[in-house]
Amino acid sequence: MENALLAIQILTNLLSLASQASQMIQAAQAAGTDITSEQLTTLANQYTAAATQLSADIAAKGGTPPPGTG
Amino acid sequence: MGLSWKVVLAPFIGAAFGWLASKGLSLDPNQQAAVITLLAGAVTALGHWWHTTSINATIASLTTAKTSAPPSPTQKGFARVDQMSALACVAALIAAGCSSLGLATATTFNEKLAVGYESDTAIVTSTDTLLKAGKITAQVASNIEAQCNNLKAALDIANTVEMTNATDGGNQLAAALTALNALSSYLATLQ
Repeated sequence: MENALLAIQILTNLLSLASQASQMIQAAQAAGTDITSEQLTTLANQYTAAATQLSADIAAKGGTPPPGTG
Repeated sequence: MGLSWKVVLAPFIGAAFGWLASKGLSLDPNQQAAVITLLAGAVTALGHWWHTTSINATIASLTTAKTSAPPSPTQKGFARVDQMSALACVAALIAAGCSSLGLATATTFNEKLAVGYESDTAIVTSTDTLLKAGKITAQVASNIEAQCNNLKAALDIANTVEMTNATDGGNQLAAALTALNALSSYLATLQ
């Protein structure tokens, strides 16, 4: 049961992220345009924020996060 | 529910995605990750259901034969709740997975690049979830994050290259997305 609940949590993470990409793509396709460089920068910054958080949690668990995050 | 069956299952899931792609049904990394998570969760939940069903059958046989004292109410109640929760998890996972499969399909370079960035972020976020849940060690999480950082750099490079050479940029993006797929499959085996 613990694994199933964890799978739901991870799936929620994936869906919340995927829905944002899907909305961007759908909006661009509906407008007949492409994803802009600003939107790509936003997504790249989201990665940096997530990686920074993971590094902090790795350090909190006594591990050594990889260099160069962010 | 150990790790071994997931490791054995992962190549077959990858092969299934390849077969679907050969038939013209190509799933992006987010969709593949959602399907893998859906399958892993469903199998795990069904495993719990089978396990608790076995417990109920055992309880029933003991009660019928009257060879021992009846099971404690706590044990019987826990088994029922566990079984119903497992089925609820399956329903939730199926509903969520179907929603994910309705995502828009990325066609242009920028759209695929957006999917790549989000897939990379999703892997990092899921790794963080697994780390906090104690499913993976800090060392494993650090290793995955290092690979994600490399793939983020690969996506950045593909974006830069595409500005001057669309073909090379597209090829580099495709390679990065393939690596993201592999990393997603690996992550699914750790749940």
